[in-house]
Amino acid sequence: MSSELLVVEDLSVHFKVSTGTRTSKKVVKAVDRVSFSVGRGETLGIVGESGCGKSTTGYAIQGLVKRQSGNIRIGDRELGKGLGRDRQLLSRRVQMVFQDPTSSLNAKMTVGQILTEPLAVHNIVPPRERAERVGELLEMVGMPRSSALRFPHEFSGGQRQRIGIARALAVEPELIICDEPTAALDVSVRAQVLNLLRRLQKERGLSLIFISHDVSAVTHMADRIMVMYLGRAVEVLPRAALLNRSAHPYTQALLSAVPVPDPLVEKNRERILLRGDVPSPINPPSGCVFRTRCPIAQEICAIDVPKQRVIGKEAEGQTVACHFAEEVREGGIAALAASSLLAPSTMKETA
Amino acid sequence: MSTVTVTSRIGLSSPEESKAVLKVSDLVVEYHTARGIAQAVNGVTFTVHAGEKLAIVGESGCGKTATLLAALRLLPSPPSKTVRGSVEVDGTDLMTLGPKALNEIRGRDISIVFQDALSAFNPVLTVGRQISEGVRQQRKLSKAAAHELAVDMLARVGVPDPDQRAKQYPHQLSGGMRQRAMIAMALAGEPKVLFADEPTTALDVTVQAQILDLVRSFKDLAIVWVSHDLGVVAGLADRVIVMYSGFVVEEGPVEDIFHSPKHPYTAALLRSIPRTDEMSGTHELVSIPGSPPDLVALPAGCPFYDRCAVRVDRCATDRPTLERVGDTQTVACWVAQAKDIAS
Repeated sequence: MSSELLVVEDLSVHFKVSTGTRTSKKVVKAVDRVSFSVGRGETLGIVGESGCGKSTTGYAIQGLVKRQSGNIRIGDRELGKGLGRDRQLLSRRVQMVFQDPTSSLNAKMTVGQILTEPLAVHNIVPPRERAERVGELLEMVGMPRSSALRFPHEFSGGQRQRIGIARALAVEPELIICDEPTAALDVSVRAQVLNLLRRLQKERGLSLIFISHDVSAVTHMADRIMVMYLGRAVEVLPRAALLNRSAHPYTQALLSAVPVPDPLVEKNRERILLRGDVPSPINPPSGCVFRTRCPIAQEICAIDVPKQRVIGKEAEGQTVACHFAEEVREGGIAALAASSLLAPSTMKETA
Repeated sequence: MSTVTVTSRIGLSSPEESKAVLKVSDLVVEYHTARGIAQAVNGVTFTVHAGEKLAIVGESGCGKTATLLAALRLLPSPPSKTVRGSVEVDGTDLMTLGPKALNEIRGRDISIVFQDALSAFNPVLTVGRQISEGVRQQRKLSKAAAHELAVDMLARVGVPDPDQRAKQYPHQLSGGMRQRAMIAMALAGEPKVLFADEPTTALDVTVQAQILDLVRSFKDLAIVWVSHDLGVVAGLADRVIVMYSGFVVEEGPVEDIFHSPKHPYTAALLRSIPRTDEMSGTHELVSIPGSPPDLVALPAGCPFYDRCAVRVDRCATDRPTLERVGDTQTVACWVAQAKDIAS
């Protein structure tokens, strides 16, 4: 697998949280044994609802949060668990674009200073040529060179996000992790940023991890998609498989819940409605974390944690964590729930 | 075009004129800021009929929320000022009512659901008490009857274990449940019109689907739903108003707005969103260059002029008025109107 740029194995990130009245602390498994890889020039989308661990996964790769266990390999280099030693090397190869372009840019620095800093820290460009390089970076993201003399607050949200992208590009990284890069932007501006990211990736052969709760943005950007739920990766699949070959009930329900901007499609759609909300990550369900909302949950789902396994041909690159993945992929979750084959289990809740 | 003809045209578009439950006419709202006067809502006019679902779409700062809040007289003044306009609910103009009469009509004839349910609820009162509060004031219900009403309302919006939930405090409910409770609160007085200000934006998408399913089941209720999410609007609305910089730029039935948008802004907006049901993926999204104009210094002509791909000279100096284009839509665009006459 030498073509893989990033390999993540069994990544776990745990947080200690205080539960209020008691002095005892509980552990939230924000990311729980997640494995995936990103190829060179590939875009991996990570999608899921709030609290699913998608952003924490990104932070853990970048070393912004400490991981409990698991291995992260970039190229042929294994990253240590500590945050210190590998930090500089890491930030040379992996950069991040954050959700909020206002708080992620230093308000007291000019755009030129913001873009010069990474060049100086990594000593990539000799001091005399840095101003020229800043100009090039700005042009790369479609901003005028004169922007270098201005401050972040003088720009609109979309322009600020472009500056954030230019800063990530400054060190010529191999991988950029984009954490909800368009969530704070308006629809018409969102398209500008998505197009820019795609163009830059193509031109520069970058690898991208595109993290978002917005399923339609992820499916637009990604070659492969990892679906997360309550800290687990429930399914990893190529984009082409998402529409009709997904094998996890949650993937199908999530896709079905995304509104399509077409009244005719909306009128005639078959919807899979999930019960209730996402459970608290402090006290996740036993067995499969999705079982409390799954329309076809059986007794085994409360007992056995489903393992992430390959479904279909290995080369198709689809892995799923569901006991009934074959049936789900074949029949579709709506039909299964309606048929007697995998009718909703009548068993008592084993909380 | 004179105002008279415009009104008669709008009248034509709604044969069931008699059943109009809400009429908003020529609403103008300003914000007084340190930089000057921001023109947030510029002459918004629309009518909602019984049971109709009207969506107002647009991006941040387009005036969609300000329109709702101003119509209910909920905008704080200062800094805002509702300069003119009338909002008639069943023939009563909200703009001329005194505080007491206004309070009576709010909650009984017209009510609102906000985006953030946690901050819309009072954290120190039980959910049940807040749901029945408005009705108790108007109908003098006993404590027991009020609780019963709250439980009944919670059950109607699909909250499991409603008796228990009514006794709980807002923070004890999950996000989706809180949003349901707020809808229950808004519907407790059995209003004819419900305003909804992006009530699903803060929710996860699977929970949003549940709430939308619930709202679709209210067949007889007239709803004005404000949203920036075109997908949500497509699945919910009968009619759509598109706003830009405080102006209505297009209005029409939902199918026509989505399948044959006439205003260049509407058309570009629709092409700028990725869709999950078409996995083509390789196409570039259409992006609209630039950003909306500063509301403190609106251009003399069309507010979309700077970003428009089909603009002509006239657009820079003459602000377009809303005119009928085609059979069902009204559009504020000189180019679309000229094309319509030519065809």
